[in-house]
Amino acid sequence: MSHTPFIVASYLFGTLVLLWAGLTPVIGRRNLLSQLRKGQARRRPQAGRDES
Amino acid sequence: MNRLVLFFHKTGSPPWFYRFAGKLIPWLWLLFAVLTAIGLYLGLIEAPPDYQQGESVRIMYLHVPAAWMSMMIYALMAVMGFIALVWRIRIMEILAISSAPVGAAFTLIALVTGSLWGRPTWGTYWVWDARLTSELVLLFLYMGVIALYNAYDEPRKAARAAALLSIVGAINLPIIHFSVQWWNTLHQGSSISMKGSSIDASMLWPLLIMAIAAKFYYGANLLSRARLRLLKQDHRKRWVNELLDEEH
Repeated sequence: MSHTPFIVASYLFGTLVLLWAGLTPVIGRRNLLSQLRKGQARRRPQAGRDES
Repeated sequence: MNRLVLFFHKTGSPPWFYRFAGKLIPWLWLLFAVLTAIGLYLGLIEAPPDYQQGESVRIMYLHVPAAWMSMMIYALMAVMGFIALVWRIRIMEILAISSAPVGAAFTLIALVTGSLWGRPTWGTYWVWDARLTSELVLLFLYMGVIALYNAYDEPRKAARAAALLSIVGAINLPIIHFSVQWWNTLHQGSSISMKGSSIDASMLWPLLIMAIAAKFYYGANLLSRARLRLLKQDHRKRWVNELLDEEH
């Protein structure tokens, strides 16, 4: 029995899981920051109008 | 004030923690990448095949560090949960719950790679023996902690409930560790202990390097998740608005 497919499958699975777990917070933070920036940009002109 | 005490006081401040973690994360990723490259080179290319298990022993360099991490992260999560429950430190609550997905990922890797290693060595992908079953219970515990946290709307209440479950679930850790001694199992006993190792140095070094690399992965991933959770919880607070202005 060749052991290569089991070794390749193990490392492939490990890489995919670690990549997924590692990238999720990075992408989540990027999306959240962009949402927050959009919200801040929307509030700014409104605040300017309220002051004038 | 003592510098160490001052450092611990500072870590309690969300803006300070957010910035400090942001500086630390790239270094942790770098150390993880370098050590993984060295560990994989030594383990997959330099190390010899095992005299009994043949080439399949190379799965060890991923399986064993993942299994160690699955238990270490759970123990840390329970300790952080305990600190969060007793002293009500919010950063500890965030670190405890941020540990759960990373721990679950390592547990899943340990289970799947163990199963893939079991087929050529034991002749089966799975047996309901004590070590495998208790490791599967650990995965369910991680999933339970994550599900319980998400079941609450209020993050601090959620963190307290999750911390309580993680502390109770810690009873599973000695069961996993001693399962190979307490019961008759297919899984082999520990090859590395405080007294020494029965593994040859050519296999032991890549294993230890991969184990250290996994710890840097945990550190980087944990801090990334903690930063994201902190941002989500504090997005209406002034420090987040100041941060957005700074990063513009």
